[in-house]
Formats: sequence, structure tokens, C-alpha cells
Amino acid sequence: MNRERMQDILEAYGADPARWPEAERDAAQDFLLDHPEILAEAHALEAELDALLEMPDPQPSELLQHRILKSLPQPGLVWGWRAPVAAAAALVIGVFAGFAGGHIAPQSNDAEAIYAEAFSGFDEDWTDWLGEEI
Amino acid sequence: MADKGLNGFRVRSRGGDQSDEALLGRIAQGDRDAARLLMQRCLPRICGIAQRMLGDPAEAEDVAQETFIRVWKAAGRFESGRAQVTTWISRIAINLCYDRLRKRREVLMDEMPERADETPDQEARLTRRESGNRVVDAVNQLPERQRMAMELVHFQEMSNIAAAEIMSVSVEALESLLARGRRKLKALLMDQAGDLISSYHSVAVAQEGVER
Repeated sequence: MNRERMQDILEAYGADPARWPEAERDAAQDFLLDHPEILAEAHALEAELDALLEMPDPQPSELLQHRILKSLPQPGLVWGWRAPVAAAAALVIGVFAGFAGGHIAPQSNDAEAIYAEAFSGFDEDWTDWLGEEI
Repeated sequence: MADKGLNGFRVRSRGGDQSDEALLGRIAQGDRDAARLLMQRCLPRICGIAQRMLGDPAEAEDVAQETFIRVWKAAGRFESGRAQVTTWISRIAINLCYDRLRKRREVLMDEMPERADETPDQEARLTRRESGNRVVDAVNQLPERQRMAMELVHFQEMSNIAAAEIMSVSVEALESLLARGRRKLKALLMDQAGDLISSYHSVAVAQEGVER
């Protein structure tokens, strides 16, 4: 450890040895103890910045706490043998409804189809027609 | 048995092991009291991380919520022995913040392609939000990588090796980021040192009063 490296450590990690690189921590502490006059000013400056950065954590709002707790998933229901049976039943009903749907669904209304078709391709003529009127 | 949580609320608990790891195990079973207790232990720290990294209190709250949603989902898969629970939760929050910072940067670069080569200082100014807290605002004025280095090493007290690994830089590069970050913070904060420290005391006294 020398003065230059000690200064680098202070400037990068601050005055608290707990944040210094583990491999150099003991040597750095010994260096400062052996040479208290060297870097005393730099050490004090970094200690002051460390103190400034020791700000209290913000107090979270109750609304935030409520939101977070609300996001906790509900415990899963224990269905045992019922789950696969329910899944199979849903599948059968779904397939039946799908096939039956084609016959059950109302036939398309011809009048509505004609009405809708009347507007397809309308855009092309729209401006010309407007131009003639104006 | 009760644990004093945020805002002085007493939290009901079932007794037994109240360690963070035990709480995670109960949370995996859907235990709401355990979730409340762990949230109250960790939430201020997570909000602190998110505010320092993002500078925007509203965005910090969103990150805090997203962090806990992930904690709830992954509670049953936590591997004890790899990290402390608080460290794990902090890492989730830091990752989420980092993602948001990256998205902010991408949006800015899309909006202002002609400014893509600006210096990191200018980039930091563009992405800066005002939080109302002078220290948070000062930290937020640091370029993104200096801020990240300070968050990992100073605030989270990670080793230089671990922090360098997370940031994919050498230890020397990490030290350079830290030194530049601290130099800028000194320039921004030292003239207000007396005011800031007395304001911390006021906040601490007020919080003690609430908890009493």
C-alpha cells in the first residue's frame, strides 16, 4: 500500500473500510493508522460525502403497500381428481358447441349483406362525386 | 407474536420462524400475513433503490410493485445459500430499474438521433427526473453507469468484484466510475452539507414519532 493507491481507494470507495476492496482492506487500514497525517483531509472529505449519502429510505405510501399486497396470487384451489374431469368436460362441451354452432347460428341476413356491400369500393368515387356537386 | 412494520402497523404473525427465507416459503403457499411482513421489511429499501436509480417517485413505485409481483411468483423457487433474501429482492429491483433506464435511453435516441453521440453527462441530464430530494436528484444527475456503480458498491455495499461482474466491466473501470461519481456528488452536495444532514435528523425524528 502506498499513498497513491490509498488515495485511489478513498476516492472510489469512500471513507468506510467496509466498502474497500477486501484484498486491500487490512493494508489500507494499517497505512492510515501508520500515517495519520497523510490523506487526513481526503479521508475527512470522503467521510463527509458518505454521511450525506446516508439518507433515510423513503416511507412507502399505504396505497403502494395495498397495491403490492393485492398483487399476491390467491392460493391455488385443491381440486384433486376433479381438475382433469372438469378439463375433459370443458373439452367435450367445446367440441360439441363448435360442431353444433354451424347449424345453430342464424343465417346471414341477405338484406344486411347487400347493404354492407354497397359501401365497398365507395371511396374511389366519393371525391369525384363530391367534386361534381361542388 | 407481532412485528412492527411500516407506519407503526402491527403485523399479525403465526409465530415460529420469522426469517425472510421462512416467510418466502409461506408466501409460496399464499400466506398473506407473511407477504405483508416481508413487504414491510423490504419495501423502504426497494423504494430507495428505485428512487435513486430512476429519480421519479411515481416510476419508483411502479418498480417497487413490479419487484414484489416477481417476488410473489418466484417465492417458491428461492435458493437459500445463494444470496440473502434482501439481496435477491434488491437485485430484482436493480434489474428492473436498469431495464427502464435502457428503455428511456432507447426512446431518447429514437426521438433525437442527431444527439446520439452526446456525452454521458448530457444523456444523464436528458433522462433526469426531479424527485424533490436533493440527494436523490444529485445521484440522478450522474451518468447512468456511474449511478449504477454507486448503487451497487456504495448503497448496496456489494464487493467491487461482484459489482464489476454485474456491470460487465473490469474492477479498474468500476473504480474509475466510482471515483468520477463521487467527485461529481461532492461538487453537487458539499455546499449544502449542513442543511442536508439536519434535514435527515428531522426525518429520522419524525419517523420515530410515527413508529412510537
